Amino acid sequence: MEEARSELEREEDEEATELLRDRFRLSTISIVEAQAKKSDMEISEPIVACISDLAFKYTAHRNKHLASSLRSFCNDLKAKEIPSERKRKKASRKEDKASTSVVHIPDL
Amino acid sequence: MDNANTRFDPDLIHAIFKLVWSRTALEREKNEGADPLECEVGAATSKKNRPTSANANALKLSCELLRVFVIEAVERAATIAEAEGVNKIEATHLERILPQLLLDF
Repeated sequence: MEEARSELEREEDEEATELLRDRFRLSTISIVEAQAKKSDMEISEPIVACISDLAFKYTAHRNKHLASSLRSFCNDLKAKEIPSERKRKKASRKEDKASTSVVHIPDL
Repeated sequence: MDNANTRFDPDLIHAIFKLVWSRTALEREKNEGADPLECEVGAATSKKNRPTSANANALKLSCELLRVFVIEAVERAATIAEAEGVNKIEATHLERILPQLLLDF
């Protein structure tokens, strides 16, 4: 039962990826053709498809790598932060909230 | 001259990012599920498991980076083709510029 569900999820995932890849390819084709025209050059269709696939994989790979780098950097910072410093920051954030809700009554 | 057709749509790029993030999150869940000791951390991991997001400026910048990547690939291959005296970019021209392009980006 679980295998069937994960198989279905995998198929849906692949379908979503294909759809996004096609849309991405269309955008890349416009950009590549515009650039080739600017350089007064022709560019063969397989090369356009190749550049598009390369850019698509680059998007996914770079994003994954960047996200994991940022996450580990964030975790490192949190691990280095002293617990008392964390409490001080929390307290100052609460004070800021409280001060904005204070009603100032002028002296008469 | 830049126009709307020569840029990537931020919504499309955002959709691709979300696909990658959801896959990564699933992989992370599977790995954490395999090690029961990790699950005991409880509240401390809830922030770590927050879904990744990107603001509008990050998406615009990503679109621009990808646009530059594609344009660089074309321009560098075109330079090689021009040096060979041909006016059509072929696979061999792209092959020659790929290693440095991937290193540069």
